Amino acid sequence: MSDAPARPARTVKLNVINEPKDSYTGGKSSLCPGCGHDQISNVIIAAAWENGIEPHRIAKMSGIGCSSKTPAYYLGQSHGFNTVHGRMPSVTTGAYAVNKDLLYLGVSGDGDSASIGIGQLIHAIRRNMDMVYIVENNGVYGLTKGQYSATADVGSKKKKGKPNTTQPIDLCALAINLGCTFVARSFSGSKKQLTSLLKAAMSHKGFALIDVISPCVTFNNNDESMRSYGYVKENEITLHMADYIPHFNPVEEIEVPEGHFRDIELHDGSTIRLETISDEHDPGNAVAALTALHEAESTQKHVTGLLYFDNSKPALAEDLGIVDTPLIDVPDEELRPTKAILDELNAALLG
Amino acid sequence: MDRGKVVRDRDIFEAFEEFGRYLDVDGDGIPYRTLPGSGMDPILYRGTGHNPKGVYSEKPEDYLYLMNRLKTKIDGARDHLPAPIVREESECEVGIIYLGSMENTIQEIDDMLEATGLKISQCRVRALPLHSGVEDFVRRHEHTIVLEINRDGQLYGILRKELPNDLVTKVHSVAYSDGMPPRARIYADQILSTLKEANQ
Repeated sequence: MSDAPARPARTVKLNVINEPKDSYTGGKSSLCPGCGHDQISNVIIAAAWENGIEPHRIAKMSGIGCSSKTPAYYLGQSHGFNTVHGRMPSVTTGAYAVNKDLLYLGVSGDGDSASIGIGQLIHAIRRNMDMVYIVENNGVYGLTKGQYSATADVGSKKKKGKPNTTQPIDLCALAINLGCTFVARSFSGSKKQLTSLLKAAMSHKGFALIDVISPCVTFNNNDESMRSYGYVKENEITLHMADYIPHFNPVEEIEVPEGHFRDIELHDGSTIRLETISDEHDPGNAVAALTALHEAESTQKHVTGLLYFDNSKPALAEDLGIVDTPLIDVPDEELRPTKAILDELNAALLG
Repeated sequence: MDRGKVVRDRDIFEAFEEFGRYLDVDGDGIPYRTLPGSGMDPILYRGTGHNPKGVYSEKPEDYLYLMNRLKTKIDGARDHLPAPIVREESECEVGIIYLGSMENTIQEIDDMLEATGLKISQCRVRALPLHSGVEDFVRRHEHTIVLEINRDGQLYGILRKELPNDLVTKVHSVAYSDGMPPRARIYADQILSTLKEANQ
């Protein structure tokens, strides 16, 4: 027997609901090594764990594409659905109508959202569907060998071929114009900012869009690309430092920053704290948000942070007048009135 | 409300030797499901190639298993789906198979054909895959006409593919569409001409 002292047992850190981080991880990624999407998956794991959300209360949704494969790589204890290409919003709307109390976490790509699924995205935003919608936006179609997508910036050049000359769709500007209630842009290389924004999006009631610039290391990570790691790091305009203060942490325990900051209270009582860096951005001002986006585009830069926020609009369930109890928990006898009751209702309507 | 093979009870779940989103544990081709939010083991409805457990796979044996499972499921669905509506003459001389879009015209066609002395039975198909009652109907009748409002005889094509070989020769297509609502006389005349050819 060795005289060496026994090594202390490794303590496993638990979150607020006593779950280890392992409860939030998934399978091994099969994406290209260094893919920005894998970094986003890690942020999703961290945000869900730190927010103390029960894994089985999350439904992870996606469409088709490199990004949409990722639900297999996080939240292994949550149900998931890879829908038909571009149809994630309508499948999610259906699931939400049945059980509105789950956290719907959608992950999509620039093809899935800005091309084949753009109609679905638009109407989900209009309805203020209660979900987090992450766009893993790399400007190319990775699964089909790297053609430009509808979000590729004019003048950007991928690894092979000519520079892109077609006008891009800016999903954040689109969302703001449609009245989206939570619009943010981030970068897969900005882990801290993205984590804070994602946690805030999870606390939001309504449609929360986070457009994440996520470099494609295989087809679009060269110096001439405006969505490469190097380019985004050099040309990122950060609106503010974002910090998330969960509702279960007393605010007085949080260190108050020295400079200007703005606290925005979220629906579940959590707070997102935006520390001013240079000019103060007002996330309640849609015109200011659109101006920031257009100014950044005109100088070939990427603006990141919480662009727009509005907590005054009802989420879809409230708008539809759905009962408080999720429909899945409403007993059949209440959900399906008898023929006699239906006849009575119809007679009343006929006067 | 019957929501199919949904597992809500932990004891039932634990009784499975194996569980997977695409795993057939009882031979009917229909795997059990769990629901999000229920606390039961999660499943991933996977869009990429997968094995019976829903794990990514490009293996031929996994693909083959899943395709055969789907065939079992579809074949098993036949007699759970709505049965055809059959109005049958005892003579079983000519049977007409049609879809609901012909529901009104068929009565007029039936009267026109019976005025020539034929005995006409009707079989309205209400679901695909075809119910076994459709095959039985064909087997009982001397001749069967598949009547439909289109150019190509799509329902006829399905029947030819699904019926046993010995019945295929008993089935004839009458397909016609000129963009107008179906007029009984046009179809009745085509049926008479088709039967004449078949009897030659």
